[in-house]
Amino acid sequence: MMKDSSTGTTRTLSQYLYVLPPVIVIVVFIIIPIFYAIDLSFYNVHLIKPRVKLVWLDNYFRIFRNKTFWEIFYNSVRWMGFGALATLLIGLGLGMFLNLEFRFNSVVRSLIFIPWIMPEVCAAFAWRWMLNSEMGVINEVLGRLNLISRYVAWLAEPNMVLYVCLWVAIWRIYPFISLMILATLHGIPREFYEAGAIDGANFWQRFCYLTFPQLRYALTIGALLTVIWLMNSFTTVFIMTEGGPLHYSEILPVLIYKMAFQSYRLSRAAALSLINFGILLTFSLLYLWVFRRQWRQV
Amino acid sequence: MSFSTVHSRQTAIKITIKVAIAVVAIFVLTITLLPYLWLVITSFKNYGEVFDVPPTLIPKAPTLDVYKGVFTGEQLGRHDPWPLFFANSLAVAGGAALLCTLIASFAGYGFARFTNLKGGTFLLILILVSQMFPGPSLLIPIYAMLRRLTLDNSRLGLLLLYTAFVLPFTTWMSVGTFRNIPRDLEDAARIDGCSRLQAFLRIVLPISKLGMATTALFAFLLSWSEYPFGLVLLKTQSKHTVAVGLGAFLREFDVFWNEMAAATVMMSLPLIIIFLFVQKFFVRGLTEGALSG
Repeated sequence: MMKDSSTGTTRTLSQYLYVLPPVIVIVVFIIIPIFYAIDLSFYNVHLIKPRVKLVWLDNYFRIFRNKTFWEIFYNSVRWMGFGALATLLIGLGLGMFLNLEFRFNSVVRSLIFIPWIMPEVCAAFAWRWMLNSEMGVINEVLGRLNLISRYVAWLAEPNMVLYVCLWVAIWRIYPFISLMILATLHGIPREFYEAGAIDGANFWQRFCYLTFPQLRYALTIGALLTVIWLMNSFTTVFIMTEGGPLHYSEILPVLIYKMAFQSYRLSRAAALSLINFGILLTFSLLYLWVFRRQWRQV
Repeated sequence: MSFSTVHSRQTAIKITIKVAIAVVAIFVLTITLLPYLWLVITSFKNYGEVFDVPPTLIPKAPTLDVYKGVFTGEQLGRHDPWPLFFANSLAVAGGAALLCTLIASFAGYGFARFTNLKGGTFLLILILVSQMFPGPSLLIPIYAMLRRLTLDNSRLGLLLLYTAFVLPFTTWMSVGTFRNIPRDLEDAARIDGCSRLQAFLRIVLPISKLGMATTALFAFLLSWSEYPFGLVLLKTQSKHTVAVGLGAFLREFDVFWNEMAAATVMMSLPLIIIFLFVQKFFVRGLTEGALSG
Protein backbone atom coordinates (compact mmCIF):
# COMPACT_ATOMS: atom_id res chain seq x y z
CA MET A 1 0.00 0.00 0.00
CA MET A 2 2.64 2.48 1.13
CA LYS A 3 4.78 1.78 -1.88
CA ASP A 4 1.85 2.24 -4.26
CA SER A 5 0.90 5.66 -3.00
CA SER A 6 4.47 6.92 -3.01
CA THR A 7 5.03 5.90 -6.65
CA GLY A 8 1.70 7.59 -7.37
CA THR A 9 3.03 10.80 -5.84
CA THR A 10 6.29 10.55 -7.76
CA ARG A 11 4.34 10.05 -10.94
CA THR A 12 2.19 13.10 -10.29
CA LEU A 13 5.30 15.12 -9.51
CA SER A 14 6.98 14.06 -12.74
CA GLN A 15 3.81 14.93 -14.63
CA TYR A 16 3.92 18.44 -13.18
CA LEU A 17 7.51 18.71 -14.38
CA TYR A 18 6.17 18.55 -17.94
CA VAL A 19 3.55 21.27 -17.59
CA LEU A 20 4.99 23.68 -15.03
CA PRO A 21 7.91 25.30 -16.93
CA PRO A 22 5.72 27.51 -19.17
CA VAL A 23 3.63 28.46 -16.14
CA ILE A 24 6.73 29.56 -14.25
CA VAL A 25 8.04 31.55 -17.21
CA ILE A 26 4.66 33.23 -17.62
CA VAL A 27 4.43 34.08 -13.92
CA VAL A 28 7.91 35.63 -13.96
CA PHE A 29 7.59 37.63 -17.17
CA ILE A 30 3.90 38.44 -17.38
CA ILE A 31 2.20 38.23 -13.97
CA ILE A 32 4.90 39.58 -11.65
CA PRO A 33 5.45 42.66 -13.86
CA ILE A 34 1.79 43.57 -13.46
CA PHE A 35 2.17 43.62 -9.69
CA TYR A 36 5.41 45.50 -10.07
CA ALA A 37 3.55 48.11 -12.12
CA ILE A 38 1.00 48.53 -9.33
CA ASP A 39 3.82 49.13 -6.85
CA LEU A 40 5.61 51.50 -9.21
CA SER A 41 2.47 53.54 -9.85
CA PHE A 42 2.24 54.53 -6.16
CA TYR A 43 5.60 56.34 -6.29
CA ASN A 44 6.90 59.27 -8.29
CA VAL A 45 9.83 57.59 -9.99
CA HIS A 46 11.37 59.87 -12.62
CA LEU A 47 14.01 58.58 -15.00
CA ILE A 48 16.24 61.61 -14.47
CA LYS A 49 15.45 63.02 -11.04
CA PRO A 50 16.71 60.62 -8.40
CA ARG A 51 14.36 61.41 -5.46
CA VAL A 52 11.59 58.87 -4.92
CA LYS A 53 8.54 59.54 -2.78
CA LEU A 54 5.45 57.50 -2.02
CA VAL A 55 2.52 59.43 -3.50
CA TRP A 56 -0.23 56.76 -3.33
CA LEU A 57 -2.95 57.50 -5.88
CA ASP A 58 -1.67 60.91 -6.90
CA ASN A 59 -0.53 59.67 -10.34
CA TYR A 60 -4.03 58.43 -11.11
CA PHE A 61 -5.65 61.69 -9.93
CA ARG A 62 -3.30 63.69 -12.14
CA ILE A 63 -4.02 61.48 -15.13
CA PHE A 64 -7.78 61.70 -14.71
CA ARG A 65 -7.68 65.49 -14.28
CA ASN A 66 -5.69 65.88 -17.49
CA LYS A 67 -7.67 66.97 -20.55
CA THR A 68 -5.16 65.55 -23.03
CA PHE A 69 -5.50 62.13 -21.42
CA TRP A 70 -9.22 62.13 -22.14
CA GLU A 71 -8.63 63.17 -25.75
CA ILE A 72 -6.24 60.26 -26.15
CA PHE A 73 -8.60 57.94 -24.33
CA TYR A 74 -11.38 58.95 -26.73
CA ASN A 75 -9.00 58.22 -29.63
CA SER A 76 -8.41 54.76 -28.18
CA VAL A 77 -12.14 54.13 -27.85
CA ARG A 78 -12.69 55.07 -31.49
CA TRP A 79 -9.64 53.04 -32.46
CA MET A 80 -11.07 49.88 -30.86
CA GLY A 81 -14.74 50.42 -31.71
CA PHE A 82 -14.45 51.40 -35.36
CA GLY A 83 -11.51 49.06 -35.80
CA ALA A 84 -13.37 45.99 -34.55
CA LEU A 85 -16.48 46.88 -36.55
CA ALA A 86 -14.58 47.40 -39.79
CA THR A 87 -12.40 44.32 -39.31
CA LEU A 88 -15.44 42.12 -38.75
CA LEU A 89 -17.30 43.51 -41.76
CA ILE A 90 -14.31 43.11 -44.06
CA GLY A 91 -13.51 39.71 -42.56
CA LEU A 92 -17.09 38.55 -43.03
CA GLY A 93 -17.25 39.76 -46.63
CA LEU A 94 -13.89 38.32 -47.54
CA GLY A 95 -14.56 35.05 -45.72
CA MET A 96 -17.82 34.59 -47.62
CA PHE A 97 -16.11 35.51 -50.88
CA LEU A 98 -13.40 32.91 -50.31
CA ASN A 99 -16.12 30.37 -49.59
CA LEU A 100 -17.15 30.57 -53.26
CA GLU A 101 -15.59 28.07 -55.58
CA PHE A 102 -13.28 29.56 -58.20
CA ARG A 103 -10.07 28.57 -59.78
CA PHE A 104 -7.41 30.60 -57.99
CA ASN A 105 -9.16 30.47 -54.63
CA SER A 106 -6.29 28.75 -52.82
CA VAL A 107 -3.76 31.22 -54.27
CA VAL A 108 -5.81 34.19 -53.07
CA ARG A 109 -6.21 32.49 -49.71
CA SER A 110 -2.48 32.15 -49.13
CA LEU A 111 -1.55 35.56 -50.52
CA ILE A 112 -3.99 37.55 -48.40
CA PHE A 113 -2.13 36.31 -45.34
CA ILE A 114 0.98 38.28 -46.25
CA PRO A 115 -0.02 41.45 -44.34
CA TRP A 116 -0.35 39.36 -41.21
CA ILE A 117 3.07 37.77 -41.75
CA MET A 118 4.88 41.03 -42.55
CA PRO A 119 6.50 42.56 -39.47
CA GLU A 120 4.45 45.45 -38.14
CA VAL A 121 7.38 47.86 -38.52
CA CYS A 122 7.62 46.99 -42.21
CA ALA A 123 3.90 47.31 -42.85
CA ALA A 124 3.74 50.67 -41.07
CA PHE A 125 6.74 51.95 -43.02
CA ALA A 126 5.31 50.72 -46.34
CA TRP A 127 2.07 52.59 -45.76
CA ARG A 128 3.77 55.72 -44.48
CA TRP A 129 5.84 55.81 -47.65
CA MET A 130 2.84 55.14 -49.89
CA LEU A 131 0.83 57.83 -48.12
CA ASN A 132 3.60 60.43 -48.42
CA SER A 133 1.89 63.56 -49.67
CA GLU A 134 4.31 64.41 -52.51
CA MET A 135 6.26 61.29 -53.40
CA GLY A 136 3.62 58.77 -52.34
CA VAL A 137 2.09 56.36 -54.79
CA ILE A 138 -1.43 56.61 -53.38
CA ASN A 139 -1.88 60.28 -54.21
CA GLU A 140 -0.37 59.64 -57.63
CA VAL A 141 -2.70 56.72 -58.43
CA LEU A 142 -5.81 58.42 -57.05
CA GLY A 143 -4.89 61.55 -59.00
CA ARG A 144 -4.51 59.62 -62.25
CA LEU A 145 -7.89 58.00 -61.67
CA ASN A 146 -9.33 61.50 -61.14
CA LEU A 147 -10.55 60.56 -57.68
CA ILE A 148 -8.73 63.49 -56.04
CA SER A 149 -7.98 66.86 -57.58
CA ARG A 150 -4.94 67.72 -55.47
CA TYR A 151 -2.53 65.81 -53.27
CA VAL A 152 -3.90 64.90 -49.86
CA ALA A 153 -1.68 65.11 -46.76
CA TRP A 154 -3.00 61.83 -45.37
CA LEU A 155 -0.89 61.86 -42.21
CA ALA A 156 -1.25 65.55 -41.39
CA GLU A 157 -5.02 66.07 -41.52
CA PRO A 158 -6.26 66.25 -37.89
CA ASN A 159 -9.63 64.72 -38.65
CA MET A 160 -8.32 61.95 -40.83
CA VAL A 161 -4.99 60.80 -39.44
CA LEU A 162 -6.37 58.48 -36.75
CA TYR A 163 -8.50 56.64 -39.28
CA VAL A 164 -5.66 56.40 -41.78
CA CYS A 165 -3.49 54.73 -39.13
CA LEU A 166 -6.43 52.58 -38.09
CA TRP A 167 -6.80 51.36 -41.65
CA VAL A 168 -3.25 50.04 -41.55
CA ALA A 169 -3.92 48.25 -38.28
CA ILE A 170 -7.10 46.73 -39.75
CA TRP A 171 -5.26 45.79 -42.92
CA ARG A 172 -2.96 43.61 -40.83
CA ILE A 173 -5.76 41.86 -38.92
CA TYR A 174 -8.55 41.18 -41.40
CA PRO A 175 -6.79 38.29 -43.21
CA PHE A 176 -6.79 36.37 -39.95
CA ILE A 177 -10.42 37.13 -39.14
CA SER A 178 -11.60 36.26 -42.66
CA LEU A 179 -9.81 32.92 -42.56
CA MET A 180 -11.35 32.22 -39.17
CA ILE A 181 -14.78 32.90 -40.66
CA LEU A 182 -13.93 30.79 -43.69
CA ALA A 183 -12.97 27.88 -41.43
CA THR A 184 -16.36 28.13 -39.72
CA LEU A 185 -18.21 28.36 -43.05
CA HIS A 186 -16.46 25.20 -44.19
CA GLY A 187 -17.77 23.52 -41.06
CA ILE A 188 -21.45 24.21 -41.85
CA PRO A 189 -23.00 21.00 -43.22
CA ARG A 190 -24.37 21.21 -46.76
CA GLU A 191 -27.74 19.74 -45.79
CA PHE A 192 -28.38 23.01 -44.00
CA TYR A 193 -28.39 24.93 -47.25
CA GLU A 194 -30.19 22.25 -49.19
CA ALA A 195 -33.09 22.49 -46.76
CA GLY A 196 -33.04 26.26 -47.19
CA ALA A 197 -33.03 25.97 -50.97
CA ILE A 198 -36.07 23.70 -50.88
CA ASP A 199 -37.94 26.22 -48.74
CA GLY A 200 -37.22 28.81 -51.41
CA ALA A 201 -35.16 31.14 -49.22
CA ASN A 202 -33.32 33.91 -51.09
CA PHE A 203 -29.71 34.85 -50.51
CA TRP A 204 -30.44 37.42 -47.81
CA GLN A 205 -32.82 35.10 -45.91
CA ARG A 206 -30.33 32.28 -46.12
CA PHE A 207 -27.65 34.56 -44.73
CA CYS A 208 -29.80 35.85 -41.83
CA TYR A 209 -31.39 32.57 -40.77
CA LEU A 210 -28.85 29.94 -41.77
CA THR A 211 -25.33 31.33 -42.06
CA PHE A 212 -25.28 34.10 -39.50
CA PRO A 213 -26.39 32.06 -36.46
CA GLN A 214 -23.66 29.54 -37.28
CA LEU A 215 -21.10 32.33 -37.45
CA ARG A 216 -22.09 34.04 -34.23
CA TYR A 217 -19.49 32.25 -32.14
CA ALA A 218 -16.67 32.91 -34.61
CA LEU A 219 -17.72 36.55 -34.90
CA THR A 220 -17.79 37.05 -31.14
CA ILE A 221 -14.37 35.48 -30.68
CA GLY A 222 -13.12 37.47 -33.69
CA ALA A 223 -14.45 40.74 -32.27
CA LEU A 224 -12.84 40.16 -28.88
CA LEU A 225 -9.50 39.13 -30.39
CA THR A 226 -9.57 42.20 -32.66
CA VAL A 227 -10.26 44.54 -29.75
CA ILE A 228 -7.46 42.93 -27.74
CA TRP A 229 -5.00 43.19 -30.64
CA LEU A 230 -5.98 46.79 -31.36
CA MET A 231 -5.59 47.64 -27.68
CA ASN A 232 -2.04 46.30 -27.93
CA SER A 233 -1.10 48.07 -31.14
CA PHE A 234 1.72 50.46 -30.63
CA THR A 235 4.07 50.03 -33.56
CA THR A 236 1.71 51.07 -36.37
CA VAL A 237 0.95 54.50 -34.93
CA PHE A 238 4.42 54.99 -33.51
CA ILE A 239 6.14 54.37 -36.87
CA MET A 240 3.56 56.21 -38.96
CA THR A 241 3.01 59.40 -36.98
CA GLU A 242 4.30 59.01 -33.40
CA GLY A 243 0.81 60.12 -32.42
CA GLY A 244 0.98 63.41 -34.30
CA PRO A 245 0.10 65.96 -35.52
CA LEU A 246 -0.28 67.11 -31.89
CA HIS A 247 -2.24 64.27 -30.29
CA TYR A 248 -4.62 63.62 -33.17
CA SER A 249 -3.51 60.05 -33.80
CA GLU A 250 -2.22 59.27 -30.32
CA ILE A 251 -3.65 56.22 -28.57
CA LEU A 252 -2.98 54.91 -25.04
CA PRO A 253 0.00 52.65 -25.84
CA VAL A 254 1.82 55.54 -27.53
CA LEU A 255 1.04 57.81 -24.56
CA ILE A 256 2.51 55.19 -22.22
CA TYR A 257 5.76 55.18 -24.19
CA LYS A 258 5.98 58.96 -24.42
CA MET A 259 5.22 59.43 -20.73
CA ALA A 260 8.10 57.15 -19.78
CA PHE A 261 10.72 57.85 -22.42
CA GLN A 262 10.03 61.40 -23.55
CA SER A 263 8.65 62.93 -20.33
CA TYR A 264 10.67 60.49 -18.14
CA ARG A 265 7.76 60.03 -15.71
CA LEU A 266 8.15 56.30 -15.14
CA SER A 267 5.59 56.00 -12.34
CA ARG A 268 2.91 57.91 -14.18
CA ALA A 269 3.56 55.72 -17.21
CA ALA A 270 3.10 52.69 -14.95
CA ALA A 271 -0.27 54.07 -13.85
CA LEU A 272 -1.25 54.52 -17.51
CA SER A 273 -0.10 50.95 -18.20
CA LEU A 274 -2.46 49.70 -15.52
CA ILE A 275 -5.36 51.63 -17.06
CA ASN A 276 -4.49 49.99 -20.38
CA PHE A 277 -4.19 46.65 -18.61
CA GLY A 278 -7.58 47.06 -16.95
CA ILE A 279 -9.30 47.52 -20.30
CA LEU A 280 -7.37 44.59 -21.73
CA LEU A 281 -8.26 42.38 -18.77
CA THR A 282 -11.96 43.17 -19.13
CA PHE A 283 -11.98 42.08 -22.75
CA SER A 284 -9.79 39.05 -22.01
CA LEU A 285 -12.19 37.85 -19.32
CA LEU A 286 -15.07 38.34 -21.74
CA TYR A 287 -13.10 36.26 -24.24
CA LEU A 288 -12.61 33.53 -21.64
CA TRP A 289 -16.30 33.60 -20.82
CA VAL A 290 -17.29 33.20 -24.46
CA PHE A 291 -14.59 30.56 -24.84
CA ARG A 292 -15.93 28.57 -21.83
CA ARG A 293 -17.78 26.21 -24.17
CA GLN A 294 -14.35 24.84 -25.05
CA TRP A 295 -13.07 24.42 -21.51
CA ARG A 296 -15.13 21.33 -20.88
CA GLN A 297 -13.43 19.66 -23.77
CA VAL A 298 -10.04 20.61 -22.38
CA MET B 1 -37.90 31.08 -76.55
CA SER B 2 -35.70 28.60 -78.32
CA PHE B 3 -33.34 26.33 -76.50
CA SER B 4 -30.25 28.08 -77.79
CA THR B 5 -31.16 31.54 -76.40
CA VAL B 6 -31.81 30.05 -72.94
CA HIS B 7 -28.52 28.34 -73.22
CA SER B 8 -26.67 31.46 -74.31
CA ARG B 9 -28.28 33.50 -71.53
CA GLN B 10 -27.08 30.95 -69.00
CA THR B 11 -23.57 31.17 -70.40
CA ALA B 12 -23.82 34.95 -70.24
CA ILE B 13 -24.79 34.79 -66.54
CA LYS B 14 -21.98 32.35 -65.88
CA ILE B 15 -19.46 34.63 -67.57
CA THR B 16 -20.74 37.66 -65.67
CA ILE B 17 -20.29 35.82 -62.38
CA LYS B 18 -16.81 34.73 -63.37
CA VAL B 19 -15.83 38.27 -64.31
CA ALA B 20 -17.30 39.64 -61.08
CA ILE B 21 -15.33 37.11 -59.04
CA ALA B 22 -12.15 37.93 -60.94
CA VAL B 23 -12.66 41.67 -60.37
CA VAL B 24 -13.21 41.21 -56.63
CA ALA B 25 -10.22 38.86 -56.38
CA ILE B 26 -7.94 41.31 -58.18
CA PHE B 27 -9.20 44.20 -56.04
CA VAL B 28 -8.58 42.25 -52.82
CA LEU B 29 -5.12 41.15 -53.95
CA THR B 30 -4.16 44.68 -55.01
CA ILE B 31 -5.06 46.18 -51.65
CA THR B 32 -3.36 43.30 -49.85
CA LEU B 33 -0.16 43.16 -51.81
CA LEU B 34 0.34 46.73 -53.06
CA PRO B 35 2.40 47.84 -50.03
CA TYR B 36 4.87 45.01 -50.43
CA LEU B 37 5.00 45.44 -54.18
CA TRP B 38 5.64 49.16 -53.80
CA LEU B 39 8.48 48.46 -51.36
CA VAL B 40 10.10 46.13 -53.88
CA ILE B 41 9.72 48.74 -56.65
CA THR B 42 11.13 51.48 -54.42
CA SER B 43 14.09 49.36 -53.41
CA PHE B 44 15.23 49.12 -57.06
CA LYS B 45 15.25 52.90 -57.58
CA ASN B 46 18.47 54.87 -57.39
CA TYR B 47 19.03 57.85 -55.10
CA GLY B 48 17.85 60.32 -57.71
CA GLU B 49 14.72 58.67 -58.90
CA VAL B 50 13.35 57.92 -55.46
CA PHE B 51 12.69 61.65 -54.97
CA ASP B 52 10.79 62.10 -58.25
CA VAL B 53 7.51 63.99 -58.00
CA PRO B 54 5.23 62.46 -59.21
CA PRO B 55 6.75 59.06 -58.39
CA THR B 56 7.62 56.78 -61.30
CA LEU B 57 5.59 53.59 -61.19
CA ILE B 58 8.34 51.47 -62.74
CA PRO B 59 12.02 52.16 -62.01
CA LYS B 60 13.67 53.82 -65.03
CA ALA B 61 17.09 52.40 -64.26
CA PRO B 62 16.62 49.47 -61.88
CA THR B 63 19.67 48.98 -59.68
CA LEU B 64 20.80 46.55 -57.00
CA ASP B 65 23.17 49.10 -55.45
CA VAL B 66 20.86 49.77 -52.55
CA TYR B 67 20.71 46.10 -51.64
CA LYS B 68 24.47 45.89 -51.88
CA GLY B 69 24.67 48.83 -49.51
CA VAL B 70 22.38 47.20 -47.00
CA PHE B 71 24.30 43.92 -47.23
CA THR B 72 27.64 45.54 -46.51
CA GLY B 73 26.41 48.37 -44.31
CA GLU B 74 28.35 50.96 -46.33
CA GLN B 75 26.08 53.47 -48.01
CA LEU B 76 26.80 57.01 -49.27
CA GLY B 77 29.68 57.36 -46.83
CA ARG B 78 27.52 56.40 -43.87
CA HIS B 79 27.98 53.19 -41.95
CA ASP B 80 24.80 51.43 -40.82
CA PRO B 81 25.56 47.99 -39.42
CA TRP B 82 22.70 46.18 -41.15
CA PRO B 83 24.54 42.81 -41.25
CA LEU B 84 24.98 43.04 -37.49
CA PHE B 85 21.29 43.83 -37.00
CA PHE B 86 20.35 40.78 -39.03
CA ALA B 87 22.76 38.60 -37.05
CA ASN B 88 21.31 39.91 -33.77
CA SER B 89 17.77 39.22 -34.93
CA LEU B 90 18.71 35.76 -36.07
CA ALA B 91 20.32 34.97 -32.70
CA VAL B 92 17.53 36.42 -30.58
CA ALA B 93 14.58 35.09 -32.63
CA GLY B 94 16.27 31.75 -33.33
CA GLY B 95 17.20 31.26 -29.68
CA ALA B 96 13.72 32.22 -28.52
CA ALA B 97 12.14 29.85 -31.06
CA LEU B 98 14.30 26.91 -29.93
CA LEU B 99 13.82 27.52 -26.23
CA CYS B 100 10.12 28.11 -26.71
CA THR B 101 9.61 24.94 -28.73
CA LEU B 102 11.53 22.89 -26.20
CA ILE B 103 9.36 24.07 -23.30
CA ALA B 104 6.13 24.03 -25.31
CA SER B 105 6.62 20.49 -26.62
CA PHE B 106 7.00 19.02 -23.12
CA ALA B 107 4.11 21.10 -21.78
CA GLY B 108 1.88 20.39 -24.77
CA TYR B 109 2.50 16.67 -24.37
CA GLY B 110 1.84 16.90 -20.64
CA PHE B 111 -1.44 18.78 -21.01
CA ALA B 112 -2.59 16.46 -23.80
CA ARG B 113 -1.80 13.22 -21.97
CA PHE B 114 -2.14 13.80 -18.24
CA THR B 115 -5.78 14.77 -18.40
CA ASN B 116 -6.53 13.96 -14.78
CA LEU B 117 -3.76 16.20 -13.48
CA LYS B 118 -5.13 18.38 -10.69
CA GLY B 119 -5.36 22.02 -11.77
CA GLY B 120 -4.45 21.18 -15.36
CA THR B 121 -7.44 22.98 -16.85
CA PHE B 122 -6.84 26.00 -14.65
CA LEU B 123 -3.21 26.20 -15.79
CA LEU B 124 -4.23 25.91 -19.43
CA ILE B 125 -6.71 28.75 -19.01
CA LEU B 126 -4.12 30.84 -17.19
CA ILE B 127 -1.79 30.29 -20.15
CA LEU B 128 -4.55 31.17 -22.59
CA VAL B 129 -5.41 34.45 -20.91
CA SER B 130 -1.79 35.45 -20.39
CA GLN B 131 -1.23 35.56 -24.15
CA MET B 132 -3.34 38.73 -24.24
CA PHE B 133 -1.03 40.85 -22.08
CA PRO B 134 2.42 41.01 -23.64
CA GLY B 135 2.32 44.46 -25.16
CA PRO B 136 2.28 48.09 -24.11
CA SER B 137 0.79 47.32 -20.69
CA LEU B 138 3.93 45.42 -19.72
CA LEU B 139 6.42 47.74 -21.40
CA ILE B 140 7.05 49.97 -18.39
CA PRO B 141 7.17 47.40 -15.55
CA ILE B 142 9.40 45.05 -17.56
CA TYR B 143 11.72 47.89 -18.47
CA ALA B 144 11.89 48.97 -14.83
CA MET B 145 12.43 45.43 -13.55
CA LEU B 146 15.13 44.56 -16.06
CA ARG B 147 16.84 47.88 -15.38
CA ARG B 148 17.02 47.02 -11.71
CA LEU B 149 18.49 43.63 -12.54
CA THR B 150 20.78 45.35 -15.09
CA LEU B 151 19.41 42.97 -17.69
CA ASP B 152 18.18 45.82 -19.88
CA ASN B 153 20.23 46.50 -22.98
CA SER B 154 20.95 42.78 -23.21
CA ARG B 155 20.20 40.49 -26.12
CA LEU B 156 19.92 37.53 -23.76
CA GLY B 157 17.30 39.39 -21.73
CA LEU B 158 15.35 40.07 -24.90
CA LEU B 159 15.62 36.41 -25.93
CA LEU B 160 14.13 35.28 -22.61
CA LEU B 161 11.43 37.92 -22.84
CA TYR B 162 10.39 36.85 -26.34
CA THR B 163 10.35 33.23 -25.21
CA ALA B 164 7.95 34.15 -22.44
CA PHE B 165 5.71 36.19 -24.71
CA VAL B 166 5.38 33.53 -27.38
CA LEU B 167 5.07 30.59 -24.97
CA PRO B 168 1.33 30.89 -24.24
CA PHE B 169 0.31 30.60 -27.86
CA THR B 170 2.86 27.95 -28.77
CA THR B 171 1.93 25.84 -25.75
CA TRP B 172 -1.67 25.83 -26.92
CA MET B 173 -0.58 25.01 -30.44
CA SER B 174 1.46 22.08 -29.22
CA VAL B 175 -1.37 20.79 -26.99
CA GLY B 176 -3.42 20.61 -30.19
CA THR B 177 -0.63 18.79 -32.00
CA PHE B 178 -0.24 16.08 -29.35
CA ARG B 179 -3.96 15.58 -28.93
CA ASN B 180 -4.12 14.56 -32.56
CA ILE B 181 -1.48 11.88 -32.06
CA PRO B 182 -2.92 8.49 -31.10
CA ARG B 183 -1.80 6.94 -27.82
CA ASP B 184 -1.49 3.39 -29.16
CA LEU B 185 2.11 3.70 -30.32
CA GLU B 186 3.51 5.01 -27.07
CA ASP B 187 1.37 2.57 -25.08
CA ALA B 188 3.00 -0.24 -27.05
CA ALA B 189 6.43 1.24 -26.41
CA ARG B 190 5.72 1.52 -22.70
CA ILE B 191 4.63 -2.10 -22.51
CA ASP B 192 7.97 -2.93 -24.09
CA GLY B 193 9.63 -1.25 -21.12
CA CYS B 194 10.14 2.35 -22.24
CA SER B 195 9.70 5.00 -19.59
CA ARG B 196 7.24 7.82 -20.21
CA LEU B 197 10.08 10.17 -21.09
CA GLN B 198 11.70 7.69 -23.47
CA ALA B 199 8.36 7.02 -25.17
CA PHE B 200 7.87 10.75 -25.60
CA LEU B 201 11.35 11.46 -26.93
CA ARG B 202 11.73 8.39 -29.15
CA ILE B 203 8.20 7.72 -30.40
CA VAL B 204 5.91 10.73 -30.02
CA LEU B 205 8.25 13.59 -30.78
CA PRO B 206 9.53 12.18 -34.11
CA ILE B 207 5.93 11.67 -35.32
CA SER B 208 4.99 15.24 -34.42
CA LYS B 209 8.00 16.80 -36.15
CA LEU B 210 5.84 18.82 -38.51
CA GLY B 211 3.66 20.23 -35.75
CA MET B 212 6.72 21.17 -33.71
CA ALA B 213 8.40 22.75 -36.72
CA THR B 214 5.31 24.89 -37.28
CA THR B 215 5.37 25.90 -33.64
CA ALA B 216 9.03 26.85 -33.89
CA LEU B 217 8.44 28.89 -37.05
CA PHE B 218 5.59 30.71 -35.43
CA ALA B 219 7.76 31.56 -32.43
CA PHE B 220 10.52 32.71 -34.76
CA LEU B 221 8.15 34.87 -36.78
CA LEU B 222 6.77 36.67 -33.74
CA SER B 223 10.19 37.24 -32.15
CA TRP B 224 11.75 38.38 -35.42
CA SER B 225 9.01 41.00 -35.87
CA GLU B 226 8.76 42.32 -32.31
CA TYR B 227 9.44 46.03 -32.02
CA PRO B 228 8.33 47.89 -28.84
CA PHE B 229 10.32 45.87 -26.28
CA GLY B 230 13.41 45.86 -28.46
CA LEU B 231 13.05 49.63 -28.83
CA VAL B 232 12.83 50.20 -25.10
CA LEU B 233 15.45 47.69 -23.97
CA LEU B 234 18.25 47.79 -26.54
CA LYS B 235 20.05 51.09 -26.12
CA THR B 236 23.38 50.29 -27.79
CA GLN B 237 23.24 50.35 -31.58
CA SER B 238 25.45 47.27 -31.94
CA LYS B 239 22.83 45.24 -30.08
CA HIS B 240 19.86 46.33 -32.20
CA THR B 241 17.69 43.76 -33.91
CA VAL B 242 16.56 44.51 -37.48
CA ALA B 243 13.18 45.75 -36.27
CA VAL B 244 14.82 48.19 -33.83
CA GLY B 245 17.49 49.24 -36.32
CA LEU B 246 14.91 49.83 -39.01
CA GLY B 247 12.68 51.74 -36.61
CA ALA B 248 15.57 53.99 -35.56
CA PHE B 249 16.50 54.55 -39.19
CA LEU B 250 12.92 55.43 -40.06
CA ARG B 251 12.68 57.94 -37.24
CA GLU B 252 16.09 59.48 -37.83
CA PHE B 253 16.22 59.86 -41.62
CA ASP B 254 13.01 60.58 -43.40
CA VAL B 255 14.76 60.59 -46.77
CA PHE B 256 16.54 57.44 -47.86
CA TRP B 257 13.33 55.74 -48.87
CA ASN B 258 14.96 53.24 -51.22
CA GLU B 259 17.38 52.07 -48.53
CA MET B 260 14.62 51.68 -45.99
CA ALA B 261 12.55 49.84 -48.60
CA ALA B 262 15.42 47.45 -49.34
CA ALA B 263 15.97 46.75 -45.65
CA THR B 264 12.25 46.24 -45.18
CA VAL B 265 12.05 43.80 -48.07
CA MET B 266 15.02 41.90 -46.68
CA MET B 267 13.46 41.77 -43.25
CA SER B 268 10.07 40.48 -44.45
CA LEU B 269 11.18 38.17 -47.23
CA PRO B 270 12.36 35.25 -45.07
CA LEU B 271 9.08 35.28 -43.17
CA ILE B 272 7.01 35.36 -46.34
CA ILE B 273 8.99 32.48 -47.85
CA ILE B 274 8.71 30.41 -44.68
CA PHE B 275 5.03 31.15 -44.57
CA LEU B 276 4.28 30.18 -48.15
CA PHE B 277 5.97 26.84 -47.49
CA VAL B 278 4.10 25.94 -44.34
CA GLN B 279 0.95 28.00 -44.74
CA LYS B 280 -1.39 25.01 -44.87
CA PHE B 281 -0.43 23.76 -41.42
CA PHE B 282 0.08 27.23 -40.16
CA VAL B 283 -3.35 28.56 -41.01
CA ARG B 284 -5.00 25.45 -39.70
CA GLY B 285 -3.10 25.68 -36.42
CA LEU B 286 -3.87 29.36 -36.02
CA THR B 287 -7.57 29.28 -36.76
CA GLU B 288 -8.07 26.11 -34.75
CA GLY B 289 -6.17 27.64 -31.87
CA ALA B 290 -8.34 30.72 -31.84
CA LEU B 291 -11.63 28.97 -32.44
CA SER B 292 -11.51 25.75 -30.53
CA GLY B 293 -8.21 25.51 -28.69
